[in-house]
Amino acid sequence: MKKIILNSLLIIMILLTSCKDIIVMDISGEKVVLLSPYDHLESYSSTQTFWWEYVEDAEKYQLQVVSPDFVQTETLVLDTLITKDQFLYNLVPGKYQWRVRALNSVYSTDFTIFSLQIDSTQDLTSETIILRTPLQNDTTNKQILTFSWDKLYNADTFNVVLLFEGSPSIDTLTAENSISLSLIDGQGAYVWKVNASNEISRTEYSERQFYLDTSAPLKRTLISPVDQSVIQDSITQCVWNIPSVDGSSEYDSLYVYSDSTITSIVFSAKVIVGQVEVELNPGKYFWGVRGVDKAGNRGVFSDVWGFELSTK
Amino acid sequence: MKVLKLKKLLLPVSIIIWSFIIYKVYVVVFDKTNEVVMKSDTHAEQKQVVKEDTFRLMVNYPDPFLNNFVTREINRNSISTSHSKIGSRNKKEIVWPRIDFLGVFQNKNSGKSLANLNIDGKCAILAKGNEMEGIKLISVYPDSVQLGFDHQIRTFKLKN
Repeated sequence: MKKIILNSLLIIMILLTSCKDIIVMDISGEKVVLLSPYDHLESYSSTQTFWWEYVEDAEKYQLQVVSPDFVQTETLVLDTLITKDQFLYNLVPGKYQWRVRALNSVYSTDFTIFSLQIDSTQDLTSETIILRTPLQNDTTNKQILTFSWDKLYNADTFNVVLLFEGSPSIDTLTAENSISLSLIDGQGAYVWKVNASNEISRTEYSERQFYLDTSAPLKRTLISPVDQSVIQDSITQCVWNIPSVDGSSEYDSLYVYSDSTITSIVFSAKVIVGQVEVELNPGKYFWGVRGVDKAGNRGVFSDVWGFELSTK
Repeated sequence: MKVLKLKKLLLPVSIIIWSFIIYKVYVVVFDKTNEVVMKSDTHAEQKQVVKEDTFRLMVNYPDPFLNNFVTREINRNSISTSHSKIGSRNKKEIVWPRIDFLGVFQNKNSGKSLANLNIDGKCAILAKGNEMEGIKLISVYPDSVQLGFDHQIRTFKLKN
């Protein structure tokens, strides 16, 4: 009897704890509290951080910015879904309204609306260059990379600086909001930074870091099951050695084939460790591994070993 | 006796046949008057075709669906025009993007030269051998660059 009660309690506890995962919480009665820019703000700064409070059980937020207002809208400036609680954006002078609502997979809250006015100025000191691509700490294997950022209505030129291991690689001016640069200094850590200027002022530099990695992962060495082995089990553990190498993070692709010409894949997996359990029907199989890194470099395919699974 | 008679008969026959063959060969090889006439005839015929040759398709059978007759006039000139269009289409015209060469950079770390280019409104600073938008930077000089595009090579001078 005691055992039955204990088991029942256990089941109820499991149900209660997992309930939140199964049932989507109704957030339609909640309200998104907008924090910044405050309602009816008049600002000379075209760079605005739209910021609001998190709503419990919300998965994302819809931010909309229109000009001049949501009643007589002339321009939809921005309509985006964000998982965080803030969004940085550059506006041109004018009258705006912005609104945010919280969403999950089923429910959504009502929009909360604020008004905003941006006044014109030539002073760039309070503006921020919003960098777009490449992302912070991105990794690439491309020899030419395109850098992009948002335009500022009152900027004449943008100064783009590319640094390799701390020393300047390229320093140039452009009137556009993107530029493609050759990464001629080889593999390693790069910093790119951009500022904007006009006749009377300039912004601070906005900067990001990225890595150039052109080295392919090294060839993997298979360990077990050894070539031509016979395993009397339906589950086999594939184990191989991953040589350590400097550069971006790597993952391994394991392939198990039903033929020696390695054309018919019966199992594949992406893993970051050199070990995978594979459940297969009795038969003859062939397996191999290839390393791929975050920059997109593909390593040489390992040797291909064969094994046979047989029932006891 | 019979053999001698036959020889007497065959000799003139063979002479006639051979004479005819030799005459025909001579006419073809040496007679230039005929050749000129043939050429001028061909030329005249071609001119005529270009000027006014029209012909009529005799589709004088009832339309299987509408049960009426249709006659179409086709002008040979229009046919020859369409042929010439096909011919010109086969010749691939390479259209280069708009390119401005804006200057040369010297990379302090490696000493390599980089070209500052604007390709169809897109800014790019490229090293020798790099390729962007199908444009390959072949050589960099202080006042010009050599670029390759679709198997063509062109030199671009520094934009003042």
